[in-house]
Amino acid sequence: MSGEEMITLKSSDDVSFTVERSVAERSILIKHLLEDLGTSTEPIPIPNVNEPVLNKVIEWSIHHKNDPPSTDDNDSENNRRRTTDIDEWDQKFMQVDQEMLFEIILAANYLDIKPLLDVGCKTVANMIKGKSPEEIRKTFNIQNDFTPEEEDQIRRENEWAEDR
Amino acid sequence: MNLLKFPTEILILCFEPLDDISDLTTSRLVCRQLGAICGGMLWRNINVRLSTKSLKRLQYISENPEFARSVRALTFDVGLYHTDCATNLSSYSIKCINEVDYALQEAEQEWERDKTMPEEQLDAFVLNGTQLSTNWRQTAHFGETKTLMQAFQHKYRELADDQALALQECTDISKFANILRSFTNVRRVKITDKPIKTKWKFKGKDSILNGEIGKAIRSLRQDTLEYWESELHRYMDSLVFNTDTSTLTDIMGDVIASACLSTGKWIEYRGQSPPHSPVTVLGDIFTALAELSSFPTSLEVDIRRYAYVNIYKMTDKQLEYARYLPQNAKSIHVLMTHTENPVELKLVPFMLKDWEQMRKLITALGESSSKLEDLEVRIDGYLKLKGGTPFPADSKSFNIRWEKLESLCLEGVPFLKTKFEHMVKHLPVSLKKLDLNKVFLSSGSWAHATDGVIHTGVRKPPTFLETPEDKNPCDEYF
Repeated sequence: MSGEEMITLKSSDDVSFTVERSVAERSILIKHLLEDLGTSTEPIPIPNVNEPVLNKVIEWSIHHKNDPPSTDDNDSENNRRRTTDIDEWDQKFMQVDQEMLFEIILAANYLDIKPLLDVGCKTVANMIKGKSPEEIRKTFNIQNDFTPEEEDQIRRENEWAEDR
Repeated sequence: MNLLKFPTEILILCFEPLDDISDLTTSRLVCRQLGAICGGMLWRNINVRLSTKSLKRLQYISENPEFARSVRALTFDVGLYHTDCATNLSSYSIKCINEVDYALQEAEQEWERDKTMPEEQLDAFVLNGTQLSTNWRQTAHFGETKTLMQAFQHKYRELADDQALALQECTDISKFANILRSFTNVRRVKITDKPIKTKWKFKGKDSILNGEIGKAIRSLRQDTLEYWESELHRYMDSLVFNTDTSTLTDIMGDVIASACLSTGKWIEYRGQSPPHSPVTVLGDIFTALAELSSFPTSLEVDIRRYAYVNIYKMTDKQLEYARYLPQNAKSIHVLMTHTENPVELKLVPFMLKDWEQMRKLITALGESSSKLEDLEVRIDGYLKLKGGTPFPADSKSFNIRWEKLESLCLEGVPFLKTKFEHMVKHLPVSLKKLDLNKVFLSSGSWAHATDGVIHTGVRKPPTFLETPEDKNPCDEYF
């Protein structure tokens, strides 16, 4: 057991998790909070995230606690994130039902854990890839609210978007 | 919970990784909300080719303010079809062989590096491709698969004719500039004659060509599969030939088509000067780009055959436009190759002129921005003259405002020795990465300044390597 400082996080449904500070600090929100608070033994409430989701987020943060900080942000347009580069562990980690996947994405967004947010969004992207509009609607339970005329208009525009 | 409940910024993150434009066009059709999000992403990276359709497309985008606003990157493909190949079947056949060999090599290297394909599939691909190239080699002499070649050449000629029309349209600079003026958010500009990879789709009138490709591949498959182990048969049957997505046939068709029809490629005339065309498209593009409503932060010029794009015909005014464009650039990359087979500069008078003009162009691009953080210039494809590089006596070297420069890479760039020493002494403190190997000095020697990273305040003095008379430095360089 390392001598690292331990932090307690409390989920929206009042379940406490005690983790190493480096794990908690994967969340930039918590990191800044801890910097502001100094040392505190009080549990940190995470009001937007419930127990099962917080549990998953912590599982991810433990696995990735030693990752180098992500090189941001100015270059993000140049290094376009590609769907294929989700590492194997993350792929397995994201094999959850859709509800949980969405909750993880929202939690990552709220807690400001950019790499987790990216992995979650890439997982959604992979679910979209290669599908027809109808298949995408089915996958995500979306209603088609276009009129036939609007659809035609988009199809015409799409022809210009394709490169050839 | 529903996907659509996500805030817009998360939805954008979900669609951003889709690198196939067809996934975005499909997603637009799902519902209004996704239509709006994906619609804005469709026009971010625009490739402009010298084809009438591509120019019409650019105009179409420019006429819709919403689309025009969303354009972030513009890539101009200035590669040209070869008039010889469009008219002479034998020239064309030789070109195809070269290009298929080259495409196979590239594919092999790419897969070696990225391992994006199972090894068996790569093997099958290379084996089929090699056989195809061998067959075509015979075509050049025996005409065995002449129909296929003719079908390809017919398509090539169509593309070449269309390009001629497009080039004519480009000469209407005011119209071209007018189109570009509506792009208000362009951050990256790239000008290249390296063909932009696209997936070829054969429709309607291309059916003969499509049929011929299919036939050729089927017969090759029959021929080659006989040599393979049963395991591979099974693998190929299940994985490669019976799947809906990228089948080997698709990939082969794709490679063949893009190799044989793609822009900017032609046979290298060994030992001869490259063919010249009357166009000065590069200068025209710089002139038109000066009308962009925003200054790009990143500029890349990657010209493989600068002799062919006629840099030497760029006027001083066009050079001024080239200087004007990157004034806000943080990153400038210029890669210029004269031809694939390095030639001696003195061989043809226009080459010297071209070379001098190229130097002026690079200087114009490199000097213009005070915000420059990253500069890379690589020049390749010419042989050094005995007794030094041809410098005019008053030749200027780079006069870059260095204050913010973090990374500098110069390769094959000609320098007067004194100017080079001066430059090394005055490198900015902000510099983190320096690569000045193989700088070409007017005294006829190579300079190796420093290698890799230098830290602020730790400057190694440049060393100058005098070249022994009996050894041509270009042997190792090229």
